[in-house]
Parts: sequence; C-alpha cells; structure tokens
Amino acid sequence: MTSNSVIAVADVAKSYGSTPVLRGVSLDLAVGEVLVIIGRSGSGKSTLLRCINGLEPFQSGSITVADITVTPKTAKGNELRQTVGMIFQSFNLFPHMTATENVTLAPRKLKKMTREQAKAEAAALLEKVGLSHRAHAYPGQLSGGEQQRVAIARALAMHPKVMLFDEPTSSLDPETVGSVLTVMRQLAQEGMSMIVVTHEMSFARDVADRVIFVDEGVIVEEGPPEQVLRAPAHERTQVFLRSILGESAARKSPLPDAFEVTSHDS
Amino acid sequence: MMTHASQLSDYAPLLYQGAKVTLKLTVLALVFGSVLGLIAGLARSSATWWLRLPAMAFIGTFRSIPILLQLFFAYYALPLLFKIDVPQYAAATLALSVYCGAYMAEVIRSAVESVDQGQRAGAMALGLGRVRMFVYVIWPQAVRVAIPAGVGVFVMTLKDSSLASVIGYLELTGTGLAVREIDPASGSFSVLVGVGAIYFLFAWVISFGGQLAERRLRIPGMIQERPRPAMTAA
Repeated sequence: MTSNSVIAVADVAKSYGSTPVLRGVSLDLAVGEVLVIIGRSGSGKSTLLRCINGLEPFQSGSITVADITVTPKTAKGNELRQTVGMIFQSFNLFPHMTATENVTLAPRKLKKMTREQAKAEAAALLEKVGLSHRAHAYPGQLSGGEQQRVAIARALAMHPKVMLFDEPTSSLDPETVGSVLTVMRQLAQEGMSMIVVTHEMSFARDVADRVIFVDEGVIVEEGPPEQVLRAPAHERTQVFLRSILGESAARKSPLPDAFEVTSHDS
Repeated sequence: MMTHASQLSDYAPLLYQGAKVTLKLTVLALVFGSVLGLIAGLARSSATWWLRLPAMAFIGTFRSIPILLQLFFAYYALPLLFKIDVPQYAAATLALSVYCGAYMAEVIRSAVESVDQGQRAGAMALGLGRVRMFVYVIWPQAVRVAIPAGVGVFVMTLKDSSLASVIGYLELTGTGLAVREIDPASGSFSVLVGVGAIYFLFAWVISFGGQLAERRLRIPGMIQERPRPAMTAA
C-alpha cells in the first residue's frame, strides 16, 4: 500500500462453496481517485465491493482501508464499515424512518452525536443531494432516484474515507438516473475517493480516473477510461464493450462518437 | 318461578368473578408467553446451533401436544415428578404460557425473517453492530409484520384458557359449567350464552387493540403487502 492510497486489496480470493468468485484480485485506490469497475453480472465485481467493506468474508489475501487491515482471520467489520460508505443497487433505506431519520441514525448511535447536531448535519447533507424539501418524507414516498440520493446522504453522514457504489443506478427509472449521477459527479469533484461498479459508460468515460474490467473473478484489463473503453487490448473486454455499446447504440449514443463530442468543461 | 332475566342477574356476580379469573389467567399467559415467544423466536432464527436447537425443540414440543394434555401434565404430573405443590392457577398459567409462547415464537421468527436482507446489508454497511441493527432496523419492521398473526395467537390463548376448567380451575367457563350443574333447575343455556358473550367481548378488545396498533404503526407511503382478499376463508 503506497502512502497516498486509501484502499489496498492484495490477492483476495473468495469462493462460494466450490464456485470461485474472486480469484486473486489486487488493486489500489489512491486518495481522491475515482475507479470504475465494469464487467458482466456474475463476474465478481459486486462481491469485491462487499469484501472491501466487510459485508462478505473472503478466504485469502488482505484488504486495507485507511489504516484498518482485514484478513480472513481478523474481525474488524464494524470499524471497517464505519470508514467505508456503501451504496446499494436496491438503496436499502430503512422504510420506517424519514429521510432525516435515515441519515441521523448512525451518527447518533455510533458517533454519539446529539439529536440536534445530527439533524443539522443531516439537513446540510440532504441539501447537498438536492432533497431539503423531502427531509420528512418516508422512503415509500420517494422516487427511486430520491431514495438513492438519501442513501448517499446517509452514507456521507458517517464521514467515510471512501465511497463504494454497487450499481447505484441499475434499478432506477431512466429519468431519475441523471440526478444520482450528478450527485456522484459532484462528490468526485470534491475529491472523494470512490469505487463505482456501473454499466453507465458515460459516467465511466467522464468521471473515472481509471477503469477496471473484471471477468470471471480476475482483473482482465485496467487503465484510463479512454484506453480501456475505446481501445481495449483484450478480446474479452472488446466482446463485453461491444455488448454494452450495442445497448447504448440503440439509445443513440454510441461511445466512440460520444468521446469525440464530449467537452470537459462541465 | 324466576324469570329468564332474573336468572342471569342471579348468576352475574359469579360470572363476574369467573371473568376476572379468566382475564388474570389470560393476561399472565400473554405476558409470559410473549416473553417466551420473543426469546424462543429469536433463538430459533439464530445461526448459532446451541441457541437454535433448544428453541426448535421447545416450539416443536409445545405446539404439537394438545393444550388439554399439557394442562393435565402440569397439574397432575409435575407434583409427582418434582414433589412440589402445584395449585390450579399455577398449572393453568404455566401450561397456557408455554403453549402461547410456542406459537408466539413462530410468529416472531417468521416476522423477523420477513424483513428484507437488504435492510441487514444497509445497517451493516453503516457500521451498526448486530444489537443496534436489530433494535433500530430489524425489530421495528418485524413487529409490524407480527401484529396481525400475534393478535390471532392472543385470541387463541384467551379461548384456550377455558380448558383450564378441566383441572377444576374456576375461571369463566368453569364457573358457567358449575352454575349449570349446581342449579339444574335453570335448565337453559342462558348462563353459557353469557359466558360466550364475555369471551366475545374480550376477544373483540384484543382485536381492536391490534387494529389500533397496526394503524398507529403504519408507515406513510409504504405499500401494504398483505393483500386484501374480497372473501376471507373462515
């Protein structure tokens, strides 16, 4: 782990029974870096995220986040998870709590913040994700995009050193995807260290510092987005991108063209 | 000759006494049963085998044996086995509590297990430990699921408390039966109708309480997952 990295994954292997999911994965995440992981479903990318914040045990290797090291033999799950913010495909907001209560729960119980302090901070975070007006709404009263933004505010309330996003927009209606991606872009601009598993190639192209293609539990290819997305060296990456681009072509945004016209002033 | 109405009013004080006994027996059984059910239900859904197996044995045993036999066992067998004095009220309370607890355990287990796995992941990801996760995230959702079925167990316990009459405990049913026996001249079912009405009233109060709790705990915007069938199978 180099001195400026916030995550160091070293040769992590995991299997469910006799089915290997991760077969020796190593990666570093620098402070402030945005890493996008792409790959087909079942390739192990979500499992990797869940290992990084201790939601899943693994069989060998080690994972270091900030100054907490987790190996198969150590149990520092809660400590680790308080350092890492995690966003799920299915939001996982607590349905019996308002947006504000969702955001304040962990700081109040774990950081022993007073209700007023936590509320003030929650108000600031909800404003940051553009949901001040929905502070007292319950998750069931919010759209998918709004729920996901509350989930981001909830994770930020613990002041994580790194944020993990596990397909954050995959279960959203197309019209609400943008609002979530906007918040994520903003976080990236503020210097948050992030690992994002996503199929949103435009986000990968515009925001990622580095893109990793994972297949069958190993990192097949990694590099800057222009290289991995436009000129992948490996055939497996090419096949995967072609299948993804087939979809985006249908939505009239073929990736190579999009590269040409993208302006970086936004 | 006494009129129909005056007969009932003659027995009213006795029925009132019986109703008080039934109420006491039922409330005690519900309190003990709920505590037992909570402990056994949580142990039953635990991943730890030495918690899970005893809970499974407890639930399996006391749900499978008729409450009538359990009452006999508590009243006649326990004194022989342990050389202790078991008065009727103790035997009835014990048997009914354990019976209620075994049913309650399954209600609580299924309610806890019905909470979406994503909720556990969400709570874990925030760094809430197991206890906080349960107290603040899982239980508030599980209890809402448990209320309708829990009300059913409560009403069942109330009605089954009538079986305590077979060990000679003079609760409401026992009182009603005794009145008919002592005074065959009454010759009617009016006493039993009165007894039935009192059970109905108690059961209604329990159900109403459950409905109030459900309404109070309803989450705004949450889709009610229980379908409302047009016709209920009785």
